[in-house]
Amino acid sequence: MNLELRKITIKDIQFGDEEKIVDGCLYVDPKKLEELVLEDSRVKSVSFDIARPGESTRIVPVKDVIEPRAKLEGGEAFPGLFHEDMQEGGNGITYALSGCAVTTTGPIVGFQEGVIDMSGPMTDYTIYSKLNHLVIIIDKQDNIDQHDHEVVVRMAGIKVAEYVGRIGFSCENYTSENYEWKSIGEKYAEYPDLPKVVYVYNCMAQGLLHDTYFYGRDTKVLVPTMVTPLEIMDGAIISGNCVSPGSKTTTYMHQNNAVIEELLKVHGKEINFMGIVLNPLMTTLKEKFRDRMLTVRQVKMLGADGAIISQEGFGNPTTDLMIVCQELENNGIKTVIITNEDAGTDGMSEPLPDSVQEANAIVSTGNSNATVMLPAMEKTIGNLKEVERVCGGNVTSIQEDGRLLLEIHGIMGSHNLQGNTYVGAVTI
Amino acid sequence: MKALIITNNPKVNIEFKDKENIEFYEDASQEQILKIARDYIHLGAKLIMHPMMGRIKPHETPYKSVFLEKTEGKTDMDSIMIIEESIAETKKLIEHTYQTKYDEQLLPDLQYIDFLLLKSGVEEYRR
Repeated sequence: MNLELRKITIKDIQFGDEEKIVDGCLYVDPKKLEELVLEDSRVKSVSFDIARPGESTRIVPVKDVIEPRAKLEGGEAFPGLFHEDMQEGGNGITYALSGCAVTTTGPIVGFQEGVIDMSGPMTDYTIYSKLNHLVIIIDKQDNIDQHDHEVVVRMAGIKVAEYVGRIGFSCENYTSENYEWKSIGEKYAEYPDLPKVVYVYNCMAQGLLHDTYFYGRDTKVLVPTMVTPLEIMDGAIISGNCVSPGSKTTTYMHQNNAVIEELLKVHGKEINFMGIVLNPLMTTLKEKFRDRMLTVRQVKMLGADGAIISQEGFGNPTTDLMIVCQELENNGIKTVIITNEDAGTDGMSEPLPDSVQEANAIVSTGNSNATVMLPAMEKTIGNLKEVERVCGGNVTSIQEDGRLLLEIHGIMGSHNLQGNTYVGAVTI
Repeated sequence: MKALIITNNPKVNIEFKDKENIEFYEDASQEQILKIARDYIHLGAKLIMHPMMGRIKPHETPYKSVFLEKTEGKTDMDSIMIIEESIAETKKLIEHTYQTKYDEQLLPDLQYIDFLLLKSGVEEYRR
């Protein structure tokens, strides 16, 4: 498996008649994008806006953030979504427009979406404030229910991201990253003395509006499955989640998974990165215990000495996190887990709803209940009033002077559970 | 074995009352719902679903639905541990976060999210 990732750094986005990238500025034609989104008859109308780092702009409510990508050869940027026939991700040449994102907005169901500010204190909390956003504002047809609404917004975002990614083909100013992924046997033989590490990738699979899609398929119908880092980097997983913005794994975070990035960096030097087990987080206890068994078995089959588990969601998924950690440790596999904390506004309460003694190595991405006062912004893309309906906000969030009081888990990506965030916990 | 839903969510009551065994307590708090479930567990019932939601936190919704297998006999220690931790977590987040007020317009959405999660669990169980 060989993947060449051609990264083009985007510093600005502008609307124009001609689609091109000049000196790091991405020009998109809103008329063409509109036509593309309106191919779906469930969309009543669509408009586009741009938000740039440093601007006094707030985007709310945000559903998904997607890095524009397209495949020059070796299949599609988001395999399994648009065609029945699909090729495995992680092969060929992929163009990635880094520094920018396609961002979807529009309220689907209350308490599920988040906020991104392009300036002010929020820029210390989320990497999304540093991206140039092409924002899609979708109005659905009246007879479309919440399930279909989610599908419409999800697919429109991916479609636009793929279309915009194609603009990269004409740009020669890219940096090339080459990745190779070998078979388990080859890897084993290559670095026999390095500790073998496996990544357990938890993803939400809890019913419509709380799902993750693997090659276009809802992970709710998967059992834990071995996957390669290259296919994840290459669009095999997309987010269908309307869960809490602070810790939601957006499609952008799947494409730019920080755990995978770090593991690949130290592979062959400090560790032998053996593979990934994708673990769907189900709702019934029986499924949780079955998935624990199958996940641990696959981690053992990969010969792991150590494992890293990244989390998604809060509440019942903490049980999955803990029981998998416990079982890995009981099998002699040293395990580190990544989770955020919910320790109350003052940070003094028990931070996790479930815990086991074997979870003795935890990376925390911060206390999601901590509150932050955000200044008023000159421009809102979306609807400011929706702040009252997003996670971390409530009917008292909007202050008389226009400021916002928000729990940090209302901020998109604030405590991303693959660690792609500025927030964390340190020993003092 | 008989499954039992304990809920304070009117949407769950409407959707499941003709399909599943259900106890609906319209005015009960989340904590009260969890405690009713705990009492059944002490009598031998087992949790089918984990009682915490996947993403909406207890201080962000008034609704709670618990899905049990109503058997009688020996107390299931796993269920006891999980329900007690859930009660503690619910109490903590309601008492130690800054918000507990709900926008009335949001309540149907919150009912819907709780219902969806339960529905997903019921479907997994019946599969």
